[in-house]
Amino acid sequence: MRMLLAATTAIAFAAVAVGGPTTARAADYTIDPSHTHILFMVNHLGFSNMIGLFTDMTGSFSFDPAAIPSSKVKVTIKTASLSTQFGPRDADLKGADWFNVTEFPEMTFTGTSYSKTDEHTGTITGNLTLLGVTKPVVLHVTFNQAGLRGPDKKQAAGFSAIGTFKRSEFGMKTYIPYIGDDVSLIIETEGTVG
Amino acid sequence: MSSLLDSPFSPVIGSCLVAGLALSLLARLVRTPSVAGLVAPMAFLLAYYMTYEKIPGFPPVGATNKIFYVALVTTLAGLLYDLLAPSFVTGSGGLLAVVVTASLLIAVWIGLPRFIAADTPLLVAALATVAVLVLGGTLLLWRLATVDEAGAVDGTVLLAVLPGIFAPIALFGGSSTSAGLCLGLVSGLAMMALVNLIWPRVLGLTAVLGAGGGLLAVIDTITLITRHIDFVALAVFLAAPFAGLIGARLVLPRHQAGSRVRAVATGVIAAATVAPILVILFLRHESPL
Repeated sequence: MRMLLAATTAIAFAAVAVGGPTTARAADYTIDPSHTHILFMVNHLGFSNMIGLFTDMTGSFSFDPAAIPSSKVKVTIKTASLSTQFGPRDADLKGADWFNVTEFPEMTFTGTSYSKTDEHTGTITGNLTLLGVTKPVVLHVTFNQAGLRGPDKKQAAGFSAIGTFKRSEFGMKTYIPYIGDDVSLIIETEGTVG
Repeated sequence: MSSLLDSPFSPVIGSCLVAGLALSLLARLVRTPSVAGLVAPMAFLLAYYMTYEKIPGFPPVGATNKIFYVALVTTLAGLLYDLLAPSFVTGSGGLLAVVVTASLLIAVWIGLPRFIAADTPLLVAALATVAVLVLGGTLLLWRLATVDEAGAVDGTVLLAVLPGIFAPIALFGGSSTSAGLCLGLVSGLAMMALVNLIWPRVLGLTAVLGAGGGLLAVIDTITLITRHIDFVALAVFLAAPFAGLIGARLVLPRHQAGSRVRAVATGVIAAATVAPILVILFLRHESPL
């Protein structure tokens, strides 16, 4: 047991020495889809908030804690990867009345401006393109940490973000107000270098 | 009943009921065939507006936005035909050419994204689906456009029940919105059928192309874009008008041909095809309810 504790402590010190968990440096990151979750919530008849998620996305971001305004982010989401844990509803949401995945197989978010509010939080204003319509959306971002990620030894950075938009602005007006117009976004993501 | 009143469908159904009755009575007062022919397309456009809460911009982006313009253009085409054709067209060839063209253009326009950047197997599948839809759409429009002779209202009744038969197919086909549109359309057209049963009037091509063409656009959208349609149920739906007409002929005595009773019987028998459609849908799919 003492041997194990000593080994763990040594590994932890070594990790901090080569770039600890809160160490962040300027880098270009590729979004890690296995540690990225994009959820959306929309009010259902006033009773609850229905949660859906997209499971297939690609993207990249540039992040330098010393130069936040020069950051970059671009994410492409495959709309057909939508899931709400109920098959018939997924079929409906993927259909022509909602996300129309046949005609609009991708939605994209491209950051346009970045600002820091405190040491770990900031905002990203970007263009969301959905159903062929592009509108600005603001994401409130929390920087969690950056550094060497233990299991694969990759330089990584992790963020949490939330935001809202009105789906009607993108032409998705189906069942408003029964199904809410306001869509909440919850994003958890990690990006890796190389 | 209370769940229906609380649902998003209730404003669509309610407004279409009132508008359908008001427009039909107004058309009866005006007594101009071309105005009367506009009642069904106006019921469709109202059902569309109440369902999607928008008049889509032009050019329309996306299939659901195209549906509105399909109904608009087919209404104008039908109106032109009703106004001009008696002077120029003899025989049924001209009418057939119009319904084939309408059915083809609707399917191709709605399905266009399926042809762009598709690899060969997908392209062949899309073409085959379009061919089926064009054939089915032509049969449907042709049957509706030619069913009525002087004094008969079978076409009106058939047009009124068809969206109701299609509604569950839309619901199971990944488009509850289209199901709502269909229920609204049934409400408006039922009022029109009721007025036409009291004061019989032949269904013109304005009504057939406007409302029927709009319904075809909805069917094509679910089939080609949402891609969750049940083809067996769709085949039964396409057979519904024929089942209604043949059934009424078999069930009723010959002397009642052309009467209001025959029209009602035609509608009831056609509407009864919703039963096998529901059986097919519930057996083959998870319930969306």
